Amino acid sequence: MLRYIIRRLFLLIPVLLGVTFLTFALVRLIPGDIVTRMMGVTDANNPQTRALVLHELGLDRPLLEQYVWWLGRLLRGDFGYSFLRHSSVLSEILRRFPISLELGAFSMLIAMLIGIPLGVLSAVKRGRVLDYAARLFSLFGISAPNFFVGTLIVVFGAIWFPGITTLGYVPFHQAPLQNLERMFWPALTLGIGIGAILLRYTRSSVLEVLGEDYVRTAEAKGLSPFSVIFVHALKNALIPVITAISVWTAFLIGGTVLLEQVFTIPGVGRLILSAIQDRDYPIIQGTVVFLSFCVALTMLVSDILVALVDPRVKFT
Amino acid sequence: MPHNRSIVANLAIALLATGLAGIGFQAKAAPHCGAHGGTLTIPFAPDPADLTPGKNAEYAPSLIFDEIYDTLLRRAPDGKFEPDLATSWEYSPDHKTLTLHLRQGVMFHHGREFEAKDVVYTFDRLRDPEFKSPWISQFKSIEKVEAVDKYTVKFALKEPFAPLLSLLATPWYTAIVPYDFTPAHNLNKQASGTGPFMLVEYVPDDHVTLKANPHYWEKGYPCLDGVRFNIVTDPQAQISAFRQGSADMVALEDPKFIPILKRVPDSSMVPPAGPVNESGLAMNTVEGPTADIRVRRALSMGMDREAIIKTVLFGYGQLGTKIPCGEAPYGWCEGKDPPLPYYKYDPEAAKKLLAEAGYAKGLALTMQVSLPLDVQTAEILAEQWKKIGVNLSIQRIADFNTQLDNYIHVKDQTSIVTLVWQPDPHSDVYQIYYSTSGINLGKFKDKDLDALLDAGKVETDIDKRVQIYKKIQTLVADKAYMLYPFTKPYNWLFEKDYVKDYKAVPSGSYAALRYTWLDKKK
Repeated sequence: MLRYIIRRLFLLIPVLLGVTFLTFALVRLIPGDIVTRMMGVTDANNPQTRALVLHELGLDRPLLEQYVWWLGRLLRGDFGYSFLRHSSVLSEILRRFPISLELGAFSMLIAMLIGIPLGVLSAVKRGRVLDYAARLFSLFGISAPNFFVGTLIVVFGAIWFPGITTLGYVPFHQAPLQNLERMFWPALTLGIGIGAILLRYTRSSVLEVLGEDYVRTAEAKGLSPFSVIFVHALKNALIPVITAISVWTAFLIGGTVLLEQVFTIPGVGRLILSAIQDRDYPIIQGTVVFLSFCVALTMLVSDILVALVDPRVKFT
Repeated sequence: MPHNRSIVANLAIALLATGLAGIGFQAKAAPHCGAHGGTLTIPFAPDPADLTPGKNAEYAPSLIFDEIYDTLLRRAPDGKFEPDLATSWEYSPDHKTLTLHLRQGVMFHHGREFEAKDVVYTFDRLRDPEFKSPWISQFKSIEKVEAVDKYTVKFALKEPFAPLLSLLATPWYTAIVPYDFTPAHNLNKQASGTGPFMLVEYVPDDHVTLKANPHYWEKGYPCLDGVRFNIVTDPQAQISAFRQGSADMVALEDPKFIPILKRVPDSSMVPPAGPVNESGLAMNTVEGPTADIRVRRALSMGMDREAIIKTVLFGYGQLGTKIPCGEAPYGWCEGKDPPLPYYKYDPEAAKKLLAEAGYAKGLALTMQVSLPLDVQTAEILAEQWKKIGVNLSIQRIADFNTQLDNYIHVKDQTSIVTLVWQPDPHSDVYQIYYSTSGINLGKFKDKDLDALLDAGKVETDIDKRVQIYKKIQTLVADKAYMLYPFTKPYNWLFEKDYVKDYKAVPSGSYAALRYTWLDKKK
């Protein structure tokens, strides 16, 4: 297994190299640059100042040189310095990452609490009202974009329940309850979307397992339906669900961007958005590379977890 | 201008003197705080990113550092100037030297007394090419800024420079920073000014918190313990925060939200200040169809400005010009000033002009837009211009910065952007219209216009200067160099009923927060 992990880690190198190259190239394809952001519609937005600013930021050097220079610093753990914010990229990321992580974890918890029980129920009560209701819910969860659901919660929440605060962020260490109260709404929004997907996975997987011989045997032994489903069937049915959970966890790492904007949560997502608006290249590049690394690691961990749960999977 | 300069060595007497000088000014704003304490929360957009005065052209950050730093002068609603850090000032007879007498006993947040050296430092920094301030060319007329003594500062000018007082009253341009603190500090983390509030922390994309400056020179103010700007970029979310009670005030730039906000209980609209933001439509005046003055005049007459104001601004706006009515006393005011040429909606006359120009069969134009209000304006314009045979295709540019870039280098397309408030008509029009300006928005080359712009720059007699800028506006409308569909206030503010004595000013500045108090028991 160790060899497998080491091999996977080595495979990360070309992936991350590709990511660095793509991000570096893509941010430079966005029209406009930091100089316009700083100088605006003024006389100072002239070739001389432009040259001065570009030189100071190192943007006047050949692209390949800029890329190699940035990559070299990155390898030493130096993510660079923001063009605009007077702070290092890594400090900005590290300050915000726990916030996005909390939102992601909270969302996944809600998704599992919604998706797995409803999925099992839907499979067991197949063809009944409950099944249809659950499937309708899942259809809504999958098809309604989360920023839309989020905006509905923000706008109508304020009109119908003016006492509840759905917006903003309070650090957990300052006021844990307020933190959870405010994180709940964006987490619920994300949780509904992913929960709907997990519901489908769980449902189809449980249905499949319920048709297996060993379940029929268990039923024939006269075990209670509860024991048949939760002790015998679910154990096997959950294996594809776990894979789905890990894939969606990886998604959540970068997938909270829009919701952070809707619910005004100062996480990594908002950092990327405002950096894109400002053309703050070091921040965009650094954040995307950081997130890609986290996604790749999550995928690796999930593959290992699946192998541990499912003895049929072998490390090769 | 008369002045009474007293050389006071004793700090206590100096403090008393400042206190007295302050009272005269405060009387106009509010007699005294109705109550002390409390923190006022305002949702704010966009994220300021950099709170360093004089460093960025972006306007929004200055609304925050305006609370931390002072300027030498202040602007009254009628456009006159009032003392701030300078108590009096006078020009030499040739108008090439401006002497300012500074307020004594004013303390910086880091504990040192404000003096002439700080003024010299502030202006040397802004004029230093290495600092790369966007305002550097605005200060070209300044030869030298020097400290005569601790409390007197002299501006030596290369030529009379009429906009100077205005620039001195604008924190966006000339917030006074301390010479001993500024170079060594990251002003996003620690700041020191002489303003009513002190920076507590700025957490990017989250909030900026300020606390009252206990040594603020206007004695008895600020009334609040602090101010919190929550960074909330989505207007819907700002409104929800206001409704939920997590914001005490809310400021919105799009009037479509006014009807929604009017329904929020226990709150009301702050009477809006005069209009200062104009939507400006730039055209290429030397190449393509819009090089023909008849085409431009036809476009102007084919534009139903009233209808645009009614639909895009829900009626909360006025006819557009380059220097709007809120920029008193220079602005063109609807109903007060004589009507501008080619402003009357007349599609038949427009069609005739287009036919004369050889476009009887129609004309195709492209227009770039990015901001929501400008997009709506363009869509309505497309409908209106269809009636005069102009087929307008709208190009939506994803973000404002890119559009600005295209706008500055206007090529074959037309472009609409909302232009922001500027402190002086000179800074408002010179760069945009002057033939050699780097951001000349329509490739204008007009000797008469240049002559008027030059005259406006040096004319120090206010009445004569007002006439110059009125002439410029008439000329621009007559030649249809740029079209201005509407002007509007910087924003519309709503406040909860317990927020007292807040006043909106044309620049959108939150300066009145120093006199604002909260009438609620906590």
